[in-house]
Amino acid sequence: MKNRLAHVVIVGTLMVMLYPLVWMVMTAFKSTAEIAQNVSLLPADPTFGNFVEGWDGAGVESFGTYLRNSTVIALLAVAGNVISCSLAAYAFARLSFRGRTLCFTLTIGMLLLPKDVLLIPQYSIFHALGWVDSPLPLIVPYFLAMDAFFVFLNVQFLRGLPRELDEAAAVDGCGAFRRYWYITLPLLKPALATTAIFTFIWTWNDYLPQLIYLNSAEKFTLPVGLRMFLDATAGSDLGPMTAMSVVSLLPLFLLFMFFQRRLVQGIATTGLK
Amino acid sequence: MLRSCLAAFASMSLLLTGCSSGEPAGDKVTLVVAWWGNPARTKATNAAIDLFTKKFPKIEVKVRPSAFPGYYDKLNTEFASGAAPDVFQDDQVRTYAAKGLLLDLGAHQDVLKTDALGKEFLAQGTIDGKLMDVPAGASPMALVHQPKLLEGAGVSAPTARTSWQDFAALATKLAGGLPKGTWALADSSAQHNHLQVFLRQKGKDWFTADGTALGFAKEDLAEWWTFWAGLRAKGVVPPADVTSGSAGGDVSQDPVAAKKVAMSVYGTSISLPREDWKYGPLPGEAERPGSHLMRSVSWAINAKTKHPRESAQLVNFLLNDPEAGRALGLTRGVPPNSAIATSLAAGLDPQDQQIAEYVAYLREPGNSGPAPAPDPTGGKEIRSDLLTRHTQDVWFGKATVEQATEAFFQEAAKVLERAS
Amino acid sequence: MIRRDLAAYAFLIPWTAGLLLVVAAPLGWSLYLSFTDYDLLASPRWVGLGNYLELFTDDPRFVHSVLLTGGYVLVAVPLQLGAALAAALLLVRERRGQGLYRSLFYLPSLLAASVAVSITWRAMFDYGGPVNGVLGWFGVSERSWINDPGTVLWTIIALEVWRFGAPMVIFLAGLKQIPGELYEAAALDGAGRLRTFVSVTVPLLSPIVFFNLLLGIIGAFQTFAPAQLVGDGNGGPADSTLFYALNLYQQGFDHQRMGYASAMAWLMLIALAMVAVFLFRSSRRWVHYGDNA
Repeated sequence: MKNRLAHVVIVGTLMVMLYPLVWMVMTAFKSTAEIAQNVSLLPADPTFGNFVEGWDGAGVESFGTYLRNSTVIALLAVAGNVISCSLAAYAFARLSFRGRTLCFTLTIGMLLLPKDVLLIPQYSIFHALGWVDSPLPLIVPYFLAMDAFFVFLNVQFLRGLPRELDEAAAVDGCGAFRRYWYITLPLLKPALATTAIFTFIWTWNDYLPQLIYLNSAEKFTLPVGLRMFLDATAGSDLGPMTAMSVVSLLPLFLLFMFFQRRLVQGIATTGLK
Repeated sequence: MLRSCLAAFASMSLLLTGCSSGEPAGDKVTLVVAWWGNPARTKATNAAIDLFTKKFPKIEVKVRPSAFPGYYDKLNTEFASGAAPDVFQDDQVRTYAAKGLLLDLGAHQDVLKTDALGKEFLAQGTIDGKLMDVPAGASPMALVHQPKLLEGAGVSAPTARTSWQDFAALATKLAGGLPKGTWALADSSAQHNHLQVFLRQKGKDWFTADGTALGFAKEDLAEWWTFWAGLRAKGVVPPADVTSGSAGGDVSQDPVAAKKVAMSVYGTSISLPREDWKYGPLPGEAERPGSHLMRSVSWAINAKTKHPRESAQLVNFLLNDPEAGRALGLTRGVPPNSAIATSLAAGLDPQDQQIAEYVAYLREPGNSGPAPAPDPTGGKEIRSDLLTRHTQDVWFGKATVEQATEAFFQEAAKVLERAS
Repeated sequence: MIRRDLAAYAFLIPWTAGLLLVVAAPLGWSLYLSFTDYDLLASPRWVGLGNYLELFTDDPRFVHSVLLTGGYVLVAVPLQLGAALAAALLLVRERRGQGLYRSLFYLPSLLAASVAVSITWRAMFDYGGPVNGVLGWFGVSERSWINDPGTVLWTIIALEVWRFGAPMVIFLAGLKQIPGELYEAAALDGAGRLRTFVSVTVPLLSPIVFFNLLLGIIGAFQTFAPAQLVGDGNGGPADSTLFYALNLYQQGFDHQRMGYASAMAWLMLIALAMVAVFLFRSSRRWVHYGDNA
């Protein structure tokens, strides 16, 4: 009975929450002219043309190219964040060393940085390194634990976990790296899964750096490619833009469906404590 | 100093990583060309550039198409790091010319031929007697209307000889015969290009010729806003919360694109649904024309390009080569080279043909005014940001026309002072 | 002792490299720029405290954007976190279809900064849209919620609340981390649901609440994309969506006043640092960590 009530509440909430998304999917089947004129849910004259035209990728590269580039960049960013953020988080949460407070404060400080202003000097550095028009400026920072959000996230999770195991292992003469690898990493799985999936999604949607650093159309990513349909001064191709937005969200949704179990898998199930 | 530290630091890491950017081998010259635009423009430009590289096999062209949002952010970032493209599309020549960032195109007249382009175009890229960029097409303002709606209401379309007062009366009459949710005329209060025509019909302009001050008086702006407020109160133009969605935003969602209005003053390089709209001159043009052959966008060359000659060759090709002209079509408006514009006419669809005819009409003496001098640095901020913002204050009752006019003049003066 | 330190430093090698390369140097450069007049196109010109003085004495839009952003943070963050926590509590128990439900609740957040949000939100809140339709049943007259400076901010808040997926997932992971034995013990003690929630769930979840709160506040202060997508991108209509970060971006890039924007950035950095310090101080009283129990 109670269970049924929960289902009703959930389904009811979902219907309201998902309406805009359903609208967006439906709109992908409206022509650009109709989008400007018709805000109702159903297309008056459904067309698949937006997908055909959109896949053409705004006349530069096929949309498949953007999909591939975004996937590569997002996967590398995930790898970078998972490795570098867990390393840094382990040091901050489990090791005591001189300068820890200072370093951790700096990490929190990084969260507060307004990224847009750093863009210009960062561009100068990457330009001097010869990295402009390559994906390096979009990937390397992830390997350097520069996403303070995830360093902090992993620290918070680690601090919520009992440290007895770690201490016991240290007493047994287990070195810091082995403790990180064999004890902390397995415990951190839910947090790392969160790190991975959020990094993927946020990189997938991150626009400004990708716009600034990538010059050649064959290196463009989805957010850059999607905006190629827009020309606020002469008229945008809203139909293809919406269709390709839907296409670019699909992999994210499937990925999330697939991984959501890992996200919420608690330590209760890993047989600890 | 910090900058050189950064550079030193960066080059050190360059040594460490062993990467190098390197020049391409051989004697091939590589040009980078950047522009913004919708897919149609991008496809057309790519096609024209392909023709160019076929004709000049020694020149390689790296294209850098982009969307409008973010285009200038990126361009300015590149200029700040000395990484700007060789050739780029722009629409604010003085901003770049004033910093010495643009190549003087007059010095390359042997390859970049300007004699077929028409003085009224070249004037828009000329600063202190030097040609700093070349218009790539014309986008003059026109009065567009939906003939079906006008005929239905028994109203005949206005002409250049219709006065603004008669036009307002005509629109009011039309408004009575339209269905709910459709208005007679689009609200131009925040339309800086239309305001310019209005000012020029009175012998004034946005800026003084030397670009140090606004070229009109407070009364002019107040008169403009009051004119539109009257029509708004009578329901002839849409209410503010219908119009404001597009002010400063995307034209694809404005009342004209949504066919919510029967008439509007509109740019000719903006795409509209085919067949529904007719193009013609603005009211009040007969006596002293305020329209001019306004350039849509221009081509400029980076002053620091390593290949000024080849860059000039490319710009020349895009402007003057008949085949390139065919490939480009009207994607940047009607071409400034009148021979090319004429040769295109036959292949255009009916709507583009109307636009080409309208531009040809403006080209005849007496039908349009002389081109104004290029806007001062900060001109864009004043024309779009400031005008939009203060218009919205008027629309939503946050300021009276007098207060908004006062504030507009004060802020504009600040922007111009900063730029000088 | 030194050995121990060295081990820790080894873990922080990538972090240190990143700090120097992509943060410290650019940050120093931006501090210098904040004392200059810099239009990106010519070299910076030293103006001393000029930018800061202008901000405080001669820029009503700056003050306006500070107040607007502050008000927005106070409203949007609690609403979003409340929605996220409620959803997480609803979805934490394993039941049939829960995986699909979780994914569907997260779905809106996938849109994050997608450009398609722009036309979607417009359609929801404009004339003829569903919001007007539903409100019409209650006799509210039709209007454009999104084009009116009086209401557009609420549509942005609605957008942010709608995208509560990220804090929801973090709450979910935190809830899952609470050992089941504690709930069993509470049940044995005869504690009711509310009692269990207050004395087991809340304290054990507090590090995660703290994380979401701190990050939520910081994120909300830097809100930028929604104002670009839902508003007209310039802070309009009538400056009603002129968030601080948008104002900063406009000054820096659109108006090419990078020195001025840098000064704004440093002021924001200082303000956020004060907020963070305050939150960390207060957290000692209400956040319970498992590792120093």
